Amino acid sequence: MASDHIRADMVDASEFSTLSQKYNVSGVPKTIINGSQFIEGTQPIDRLFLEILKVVHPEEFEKLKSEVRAARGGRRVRNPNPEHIYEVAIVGGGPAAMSAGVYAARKELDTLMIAQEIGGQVNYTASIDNYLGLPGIGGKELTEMFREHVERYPIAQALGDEVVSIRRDEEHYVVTLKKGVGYRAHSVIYCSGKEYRRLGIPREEQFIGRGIAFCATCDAPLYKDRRVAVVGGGNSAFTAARDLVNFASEIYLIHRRDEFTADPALIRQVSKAGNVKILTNRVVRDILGQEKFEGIRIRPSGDGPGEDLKVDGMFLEIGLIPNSDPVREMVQLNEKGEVRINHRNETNLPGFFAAGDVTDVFEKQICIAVGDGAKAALAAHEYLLEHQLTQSKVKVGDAWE
Amino acid sequence: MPEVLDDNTRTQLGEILKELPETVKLVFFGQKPESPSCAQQRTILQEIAEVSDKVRVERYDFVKDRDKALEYGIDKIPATAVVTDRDYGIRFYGLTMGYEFSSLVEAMVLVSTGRSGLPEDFSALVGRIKQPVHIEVMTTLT
Ligand SMILES: Cc1cc2nc3c(=O)[nH]c(=O)nc-3n(C[C@H](O)[C@H](O)[C@H](O)COP(=O)(O)OP(=O)(O)OC[C@H]3O[C@@H](n4cnc5c(N)ncnc54)[C@H](O)[C@@H]3O)c2cc1C
Repeated sequence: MASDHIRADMVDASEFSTLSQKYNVSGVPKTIINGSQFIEGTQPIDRLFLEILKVVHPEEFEKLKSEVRAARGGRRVRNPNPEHIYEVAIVGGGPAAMSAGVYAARKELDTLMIAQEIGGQVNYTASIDNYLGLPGIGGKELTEMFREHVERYPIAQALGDEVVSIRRDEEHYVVTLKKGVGYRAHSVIYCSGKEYRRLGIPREEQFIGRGIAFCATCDAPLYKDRRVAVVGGGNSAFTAARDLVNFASEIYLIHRRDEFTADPALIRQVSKAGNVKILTNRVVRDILGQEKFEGIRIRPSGDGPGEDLKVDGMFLEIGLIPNSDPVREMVQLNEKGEVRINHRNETNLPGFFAAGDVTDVFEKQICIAVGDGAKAALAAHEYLLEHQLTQSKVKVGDAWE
Repeated sequence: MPEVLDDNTRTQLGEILKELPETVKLVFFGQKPESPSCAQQRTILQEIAEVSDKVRVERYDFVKDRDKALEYGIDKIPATAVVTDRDYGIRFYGLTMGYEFSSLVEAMVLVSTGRSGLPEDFSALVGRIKQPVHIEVMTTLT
């Protein structure tokens, strides 16, 4: 009642045993927010609102948290300064960048972190089972833990804007953001990760977040009792369809071939669901609706007449592409557009390092991004020492850390 | 169906409901043929309405009155929506007996007065919530 946006159900767990099983109710009361976040037992009301905020407005929640942390003294982040020349600029805010941030800060490097958004792809992951020591941790939760760790150090942060280009001046690198600001640094650690591939159809960008979505784990509850399309044929498409089964009224899985690359067990599970229709050999051609997303026009992959599909949303699950555009002109990329690195995370440019999913590292995982971020920062530190570009007093290796 | 509320409860309830500033509608969804729990919940609501003219019960069939069920966002039965002219989104699924009976009465008072009962300083926190939120509280009757 405190908010027009909140509706509340009191559910007798014994009467609705299927639902109780779905929510794994072993004790009552148990509170479920938007079908995903669970709170056991009776909690103070402020805790409940914080949990709600965490689910529906993670950015607001983060803001609130950093306000609290700053007030407590656990957060030492500084404002970015375009006049200053940093020793190292880290581009990105995912696991690779945050790990690089911790290692750079511990080498007392004068560090700037530039990222559109903290967390990267980890924010899109509901639960992570392969990060050592933290089985089953939530993606957002892991991001928060990473963030709290890196923000204990006095590094500067420029968040919320996109790097559009990086070039090398005589003395240093210049990192230019979309809004026009430029930051300078003697070295760069490039960790811009990957992002979801687009279809490349008209008006696609315009509808992102307003009908077109990428993260079914995050957005499935928004499509309760609605019709949605999922585009793709791999594990992520089938996982998205599976996440939607309990919410959407109808799910159309659209794939341009007639064979899937997803795991057979997953395909079987999804195909069995009564509300999933699989449409193979079809491509999405157009978006229906002017202001509002009203559906899509699909067409057979070869050729043939188009067909309109009335859906309220479309999830694009057609793979990921490296965010290497801002450095395309400057560093060597492989045929997939990934930044080429060696085992010291060096690129072909002196002082320009890269780590994580944006690189040609073998396999893309959080732990790999974290490991490579650390390596890149240590390599950058060594580079700065060798070229006498740092005031850092730390001369020894990190062997005992 | 035997009476569910004893005299003592009726008297107490009468005292509370008498004070309601606005009429409360208990919108009930069941289904024919009626299951035992639907029948029992329907009886509880009727008995509450008998105690006070500030309470009205509306009855719908989950299947036949599908439009109404959609309107109230009901997805399982027995279901009870607690509303006035305004719908604050409060629903009870299952029987409102035992501990849940007090919750139901509390909800009736809250919607009737239109006040959430939350301290003032929460408004800042609550104001930050700008998207639909669906809370489900799993409870048992005891
Ligand atoms: C749905 C899903 C599930 C996954 N599940 C797992 C799992 O269970 N276990 C696991 O180990 N891995 C998993 N992964 C992979 C894992 O998330 C990635 O390997 C990891 O996040 C890579 O980290 P990164 O720091 O290299 O890049 P990213 O996480 O992609 O982060 C990139 C960062 O760079 C920023 N950025 C990008 N471009 C710019 C720009 N131009 N300007 C400024 N900032 C920019 C972004 O805002 C972001 O902060 C999953 C991935 C997805 C998509």
